Amino acid sequence: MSSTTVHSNTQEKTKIVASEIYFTEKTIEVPRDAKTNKLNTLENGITSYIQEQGSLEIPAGNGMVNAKGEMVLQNGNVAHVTPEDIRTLAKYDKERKEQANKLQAKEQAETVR
Amino acid sequence: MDQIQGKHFSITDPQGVNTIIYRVNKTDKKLLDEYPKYTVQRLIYAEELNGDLKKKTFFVDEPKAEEELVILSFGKDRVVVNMGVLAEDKVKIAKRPIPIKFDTLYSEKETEYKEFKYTPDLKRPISIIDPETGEEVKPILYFDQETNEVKGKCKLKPYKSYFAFEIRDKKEDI
Repeated sequence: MSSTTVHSNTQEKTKIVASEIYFTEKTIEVPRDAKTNKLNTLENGITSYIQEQGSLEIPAGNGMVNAKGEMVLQNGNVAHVTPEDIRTLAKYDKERKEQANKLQAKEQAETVR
Repeated sequence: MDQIQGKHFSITDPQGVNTIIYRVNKTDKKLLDEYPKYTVQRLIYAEELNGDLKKKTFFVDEPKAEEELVILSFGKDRVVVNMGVLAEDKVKIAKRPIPIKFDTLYSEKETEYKEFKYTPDLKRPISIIDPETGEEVKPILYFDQETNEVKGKCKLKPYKSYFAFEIRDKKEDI
């Protein structure tokens, strides 16, 4: 007896789920109306929501941030960020490299098998 | 850190509005046993005052070809949630953002900060933001030697509104 597997064509989309919350003495609470109304209004994939609703465009430029806290913009202007921002970027960079290394190690292990 | 390449774009906040932006990261399938499927990273920005207006230049470090953005604009009694996509040399922002009104924000009754036990679920990252300051509530993790567990604690005001959000999958058949 043969069987056939039919794959549905699914596309993953990201959606944002958000709410007002508050903390009581003992718990985290979600206001009653937030559960029924506010969460449901954000049930859209991000990219598809933008396509459906239409969009405004803001130009984006190439730039870089250095260890001195200078954000050098595409037009050559320099803006400044805080030392905490530099630490944040360094943390993101470290996390990105860690994930990339782990991914590479897994892929190499799969190739060896 | 020597220097980090990226993209920048600017928005202007009117008086009384504080916009913060998060970038949505999707974890590679091979690493899902170690990391949650989606994480968010708050974008750093440089600020320039122009009268009553605040020009913010946000920076996206090492962007991929397309980056999804969550744009949160906190006002007096609400947050406006919008979405954007950074691709090539522009950011597309949805024309219809979604407002969420806070019912209990700016309560006249003054409350003090109290320390709460709050252990975040590392497999399901939820971001909690103080709407008054725009700062993220991040618990301090510590190791409880009695129970042999990692736990968290943070200082919050009880009965004050906070804003929480997470990124989830929305699978659809096409």
